[in-house]
Amino acid sequence: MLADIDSAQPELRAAAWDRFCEAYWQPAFRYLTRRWGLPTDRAEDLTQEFFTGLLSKEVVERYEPARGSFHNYLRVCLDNYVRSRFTAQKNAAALDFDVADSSPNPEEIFLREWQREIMSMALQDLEAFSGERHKDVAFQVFSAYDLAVEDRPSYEELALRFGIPTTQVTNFLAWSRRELRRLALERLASLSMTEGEYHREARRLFAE
Amino acid sequence: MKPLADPILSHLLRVTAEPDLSSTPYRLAGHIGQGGMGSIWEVEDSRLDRRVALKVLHNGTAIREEAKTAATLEHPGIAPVYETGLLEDGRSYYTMRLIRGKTLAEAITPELPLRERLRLWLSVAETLDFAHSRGVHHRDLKPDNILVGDYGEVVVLDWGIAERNSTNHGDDLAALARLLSYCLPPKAAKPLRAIAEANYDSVRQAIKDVHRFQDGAPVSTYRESILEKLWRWSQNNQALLLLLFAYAAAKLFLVFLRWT
Amino acid sequence: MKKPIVGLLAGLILGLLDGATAWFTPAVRDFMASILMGSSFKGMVVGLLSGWFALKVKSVPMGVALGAGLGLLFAYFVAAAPSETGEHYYLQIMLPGFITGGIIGFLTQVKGQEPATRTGA
Repeated sequence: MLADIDSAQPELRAAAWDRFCEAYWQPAFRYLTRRWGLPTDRAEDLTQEFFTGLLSKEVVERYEPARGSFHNYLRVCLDNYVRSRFTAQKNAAALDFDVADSSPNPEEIFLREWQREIMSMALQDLEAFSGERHKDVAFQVFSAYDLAVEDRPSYEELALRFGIPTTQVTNFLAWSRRELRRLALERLASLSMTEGEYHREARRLFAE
Repeated sequence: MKPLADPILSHLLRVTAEPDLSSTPYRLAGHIGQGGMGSIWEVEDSRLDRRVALKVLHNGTAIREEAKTAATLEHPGIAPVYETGLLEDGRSYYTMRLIRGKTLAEAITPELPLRERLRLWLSVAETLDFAHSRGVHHRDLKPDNILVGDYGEVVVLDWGIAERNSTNHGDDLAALARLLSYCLPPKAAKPLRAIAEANYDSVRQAIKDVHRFQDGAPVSTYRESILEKLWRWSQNNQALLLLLFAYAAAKLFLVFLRWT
Repeated sequence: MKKPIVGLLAGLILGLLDGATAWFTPAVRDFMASILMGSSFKGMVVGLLSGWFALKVKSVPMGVALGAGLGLLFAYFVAAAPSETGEHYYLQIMLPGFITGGIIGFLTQVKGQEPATRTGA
């Protein structure tokens, strides 16, 4: 759990911070490009500054689960940070506040990026797990179908491609999706402060 | 790793949210919606050749408690629970009667007459009163948790955070009052608005007052002025007023005849 | 209170009131006592019959119609008999008598104790 962030043991604290940064760095970065319209390099710098600032300001420790989800709290902190940075630098010309204010619901943007990151990490975990369990073919079938960018092949086409029965295609897909879900939830559990927050975030993760 | 494209992300979220029914006698037919604590799916029961609603939650304890709560309440306003079980992916589920219809939020349209609005509210209130009599209080009553079926039946759903063996019905009473305000048209009669704003000790008291209003009697939470009392009496005795008016008109006519 | 009793009381009160309006006809003021007695008796008969009908049939329109019809009929009997002045007051007696009968019929339908079983309409 992310509660280890304020653990007395340095190793636990460091591991928790690594998990935290791994999970939220990309969503924060992409949020800055989408919501605030920042160019890539500026967004990267700001994201790094934000996380470095978090570490010193103990912002995470001020989070109260009863008041809402952690990623929403983080998003609000990020918005406040961006506003304060640009106001302080009198560099408002570099930031189009009108674009930011007229963009779609910022909470939805951050949620989407967070979902993207969690599922990306879970996919990496699934690939590794499939390899460990000698289920590489299952992962390949899953990749060919569920990760298809354009038209998805039919089950029959996949069966032909991989030299397996069609029923096996169904089984492989079911197995992969089940494991993907489990791995995504495991990632989520490692990022949640409390049991209650974990259940809430799990609902949000799979809500489209 | 390249970020997941939006269509792929949407697809993955959808397929991982779908219940794995491979170890059950059910076949997925569609997604109905999100309940408070889980998602609800339309599935086909191959044993009885019928469609039922299946609710899934990854929190196993919560789903069993929710199923038990709904199962102990046998009432026309509560969807009966058929069975509970465990999915292949470890999530718990329970099945219940599938109700085709619309939510209360969709059913309350500007053209809906007052009589029907009150019928809908009274149906919910009767269901809640029954639940309270069994020591259960809902705690999440809102228009989206109420279904109006195709046959006009009103069903209260989502007993996910319901409390059993409870005598504290304050939340439900407040929610029911808000629901009445929601059901009423913008220019509702003052007694009805008074009922929606009153603090009742029980659902039964609120139901009685609404019935009194429907019967043309004074409601307990609204103090009528003399004019309002007269107006209510005249509404309830229109035929008598008409006859008295006819009598007075006849007498005046006779006076007129005598003078001419 | 049973419906025939309601009818009886309503007929008495309304008959008295109806009869009292005769005071506005100067020609008959001297005969107020007999007018009041006759009018209230007429009202009580109409009320009793309407009340009995209401025990058998629950229908406000039919109750009003029966009461009005009975009121008209008995008012005719009264109006057909010449007055002490020798005149007939058909319109002055029958028109109010018709409407008063309707009111009595209405009251017997909506007031009073409902019987256990009867015909609905």
